[in-house]
Amino acid sequence: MESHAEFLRVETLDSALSEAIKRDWRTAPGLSARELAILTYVEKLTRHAYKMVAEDLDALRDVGLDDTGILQVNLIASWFNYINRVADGLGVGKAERAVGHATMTP
Amino acid sequence: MPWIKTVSPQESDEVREAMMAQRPLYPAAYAGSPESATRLPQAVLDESIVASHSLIPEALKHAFSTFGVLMNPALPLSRREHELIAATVSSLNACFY
Repeated sequence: MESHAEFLRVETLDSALSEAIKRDWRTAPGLSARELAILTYVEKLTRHAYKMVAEDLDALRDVGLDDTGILQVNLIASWFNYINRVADGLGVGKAERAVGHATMTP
Repeated sequence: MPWIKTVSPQESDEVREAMMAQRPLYPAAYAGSPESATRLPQAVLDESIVASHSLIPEALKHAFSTFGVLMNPALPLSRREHELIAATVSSLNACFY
């Protein structure tokens, strides 16, 4: 999570925000109602995708997103879930496994 | 480097072309000049995550092209919103990226 938080900090010049997201996005300062609605959807999609219901989109519509915006939220969140699994499943960005060590501590 | 073999763009025309093909899709804030390269999200900038796809160059091209398309400023979400979503997903997944 370091790398993306790093970029977020540079982009928004708000280290408090990116640090809070690393811990718990719900504690992040200065999020708009629209941003809160987006991250609520994103969290459910990431943690419990099988629980999603049509009503989950209503909260996004309520903050002014149209269907293109909703699709964009879903696809960006889905893409990062994809890239996280590529990275974790193939050992991208992890320390090289030292030769002679059978396992790494998870 | 990942736990699987990777192919560098120097070794393979196909890999180089795949890497080049996805770059123009990134918004101006991301691509082009050397100094703007430092503004790429590390998730994409980091050679390792791109290189991890390099045994299947077409997958590399399409996966990262998709990301570029999704960052298009003509779409409804703002730069800050892209980054909030990305950082939140990676954090929830406890992932370095």
